[in-house]
Amino acid sequence: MKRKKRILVGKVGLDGHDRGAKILARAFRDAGFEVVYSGLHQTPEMIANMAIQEAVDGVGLSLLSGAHNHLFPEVARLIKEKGADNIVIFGGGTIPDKDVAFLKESGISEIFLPGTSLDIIINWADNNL
Amino acid sequence: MSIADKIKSGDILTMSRLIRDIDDGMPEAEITLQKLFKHSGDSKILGITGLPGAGKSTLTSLLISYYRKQNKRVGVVAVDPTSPFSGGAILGDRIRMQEHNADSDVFIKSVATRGSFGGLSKSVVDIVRIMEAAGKDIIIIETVGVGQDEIDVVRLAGQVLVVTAPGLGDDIQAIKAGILEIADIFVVNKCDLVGAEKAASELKDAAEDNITGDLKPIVMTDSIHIKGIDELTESIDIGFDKFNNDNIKNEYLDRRYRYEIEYKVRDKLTETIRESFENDPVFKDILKAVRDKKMDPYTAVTKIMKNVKLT
Repeated sequence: MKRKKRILVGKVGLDGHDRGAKILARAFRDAGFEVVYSGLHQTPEMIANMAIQEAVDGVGLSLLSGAHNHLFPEVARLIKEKGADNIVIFGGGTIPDKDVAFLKESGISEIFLPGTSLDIIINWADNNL
Repeated sequence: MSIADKIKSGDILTMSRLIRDIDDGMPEAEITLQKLFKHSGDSKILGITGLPGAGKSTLTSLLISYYRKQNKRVGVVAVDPTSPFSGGAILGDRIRMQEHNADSDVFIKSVATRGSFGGLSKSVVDIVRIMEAAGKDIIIIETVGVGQDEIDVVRLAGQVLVVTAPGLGDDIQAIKAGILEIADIFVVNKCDLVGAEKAASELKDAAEDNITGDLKPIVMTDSIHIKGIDELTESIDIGFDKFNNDNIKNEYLDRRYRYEIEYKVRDKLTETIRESFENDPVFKDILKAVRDKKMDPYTAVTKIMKNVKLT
């Protein structure tokens, strides 16, 4: 029996820009994923709870406020702390090149920089979730 | 600790993983469900259904708040449609329930219909069982946005709210023969909008109970400005109080278990017949005979009913 892939598209912190997250959610839907969208202004705790309740394969975090170095690792830490270390976490947004290495060391599997096409993200998720 | 014991202790990770297995049709999940059965059947199950955009999710969020104020543990199953094209889905109901995301006594599960037509997914009946066994006092089932015939929720829930909103005009007419009949309580949401009184009065016919002639409650609510919620929760509480009467409770349980068993039998039969057409020579011969016009489909049905191997 083949499992249906499930993903949480999450907006964390004080960032009201969700056009990108919604476009991504729709692209995942069209690629056959079941997509839970968190809505805006979630704390890392809320994202972690949602990811666990929904038993998703992956969490895609979108952030355009600049707080990614603080918020992304916190989501990763909480999800792990709650015992769901099988959940793959990735992210994107207005993130500079120089932060990628740190984020990858902090439990984020992949970072997609500005200008990344939807296909690349979907393919990555298909292969890594 | 066994999976069943972990669920009874309310372990969220174990619950959500088992629910995922059920949704994905993993056969081994059934063993745990069998063990959980005797710990289910006592929670209050509230169905919320109605047209898309009527405000079911926002209303659900307010009801969660009401039950949390009484320190009740709450489970929610929110169903959204699966795309017939990609098989994917956007599960957006819990966006309206965000304020409960940090509350460990509220467990919200979003599921997609995955090809089911009754307004629920195949898995909902089992998800409810898991939530009951995990000690949820109240379980709210929010159906997909429905039109006419998606009434499975009435067979599972103790009470059903049918939610509508003003300005849907003819849609009220359109649903008259269908879901209006399954309501225990009618909700006219967004009652701050023009036409709310009219929408409520148009429901009066449908609100008359076919058998007793009693009028079912019609409650006007406004989820944004939080109006009418006290009246709604009072009606819901009165409705659940009726289950203190053993006859009413048993009638409900009979309905619920009959639906569950019928559904599961039908599901297994469908699968068996589908497989037989692929693998069983008798079925293949029947199909060929129909194709060659040596047998009509009506005779074929009778023959298949005789030949289907029930395990």
